[in-house]
Amino acid sequence: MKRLLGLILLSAGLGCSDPVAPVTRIEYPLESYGGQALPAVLFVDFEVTVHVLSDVISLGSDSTFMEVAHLRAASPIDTVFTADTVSGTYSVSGSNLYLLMASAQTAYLKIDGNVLRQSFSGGELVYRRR
Amino acid sequence: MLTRRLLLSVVLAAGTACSSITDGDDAKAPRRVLFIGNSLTETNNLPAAVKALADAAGVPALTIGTDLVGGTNLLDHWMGLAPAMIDRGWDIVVLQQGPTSTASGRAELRLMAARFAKRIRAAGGEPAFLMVWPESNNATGFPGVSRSYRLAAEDVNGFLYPAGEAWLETWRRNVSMPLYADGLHPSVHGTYLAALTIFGVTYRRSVVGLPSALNADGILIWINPVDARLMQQAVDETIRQHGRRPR
Repeated sequence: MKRLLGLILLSAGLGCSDPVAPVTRIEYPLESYGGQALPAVLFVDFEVTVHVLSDVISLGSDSTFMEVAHLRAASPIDTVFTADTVSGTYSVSGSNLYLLMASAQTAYLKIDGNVLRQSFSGGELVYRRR
Repeated sequence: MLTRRLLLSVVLAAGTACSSITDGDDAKAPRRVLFIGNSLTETNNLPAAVKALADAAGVPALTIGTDLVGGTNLLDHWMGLAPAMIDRGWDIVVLQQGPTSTASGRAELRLMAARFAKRIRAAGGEPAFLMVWPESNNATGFPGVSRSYRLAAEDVNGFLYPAGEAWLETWRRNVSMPLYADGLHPSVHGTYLAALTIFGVTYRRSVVGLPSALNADGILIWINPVDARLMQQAVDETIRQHGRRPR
């Protein structure tokens, strides 16, 4: 599977896809955040807690990616649900997946079979291919 | 003292010249504006700079209130004096916190925006959001900051003062314009841009022709007239693209 993913990503990265062919996408939903299953606590500020309800990274055969996260910010007296989307392009080098966002921010994840892993100071985000 | 007296003369003269700016509807012009925020608003006394612009432009005089505490976000203010201050009644309440470029910070800002807006409107006012700017070593944070404040303003149908976008528009015209005083806080140029942005959105007026020198309640903001003109034009363009008023 890793080889298959690598092939798909590689061909997409090299621009080998037929320009008129439909873009195919592979989706990686967030499975855990810092060892917590979803919904996971993302952030606590006194009485306000922000949970991540879902987060999906979608990689296209045209070298584009999109990440859509759904969050909930809640306190004892109010709650809001928000959706957050970032998009851009990606490239693969070895087992590393590099994301370049439209804002010029970058991120990278490790490709581990059907799983993408991203480390942060408090732990790891684990995305598993759908 | 001489410099200050001279400056006041300049401001007075500029204020007279500004009477040619297209008049808005003075009956609807705000009289009382409350600023809730932190050191990004407090630096160089941004509220007083806005008042000085209003005085120079000949719009109805502003009464300014402030609840500004360094290092705070809107939740901190909610747990402090802000609700009681809001209840005194203001035409506009300007809300500002740190850059807020992350998804989690954005979610919290939107929660607080809804909470503040309800309170502000119950007291007869309109909420406004002062979009700030990221740390100077995080230039790629600008889109995230912009998105956070825009969404907060849209959520509650409030004013959006896109100061951070005005910084970007200014740098497109002169990349060396010194807008930061340090790694985060604004220089007098940065404060001047924010003040122009607040003025332009609030009064729906071009800011071109406003004074390039202001007495912000004792803090002298003096901008080279050439730079001021460039910044005013940048603010007009920014407001055209990103400014927002309640609908």
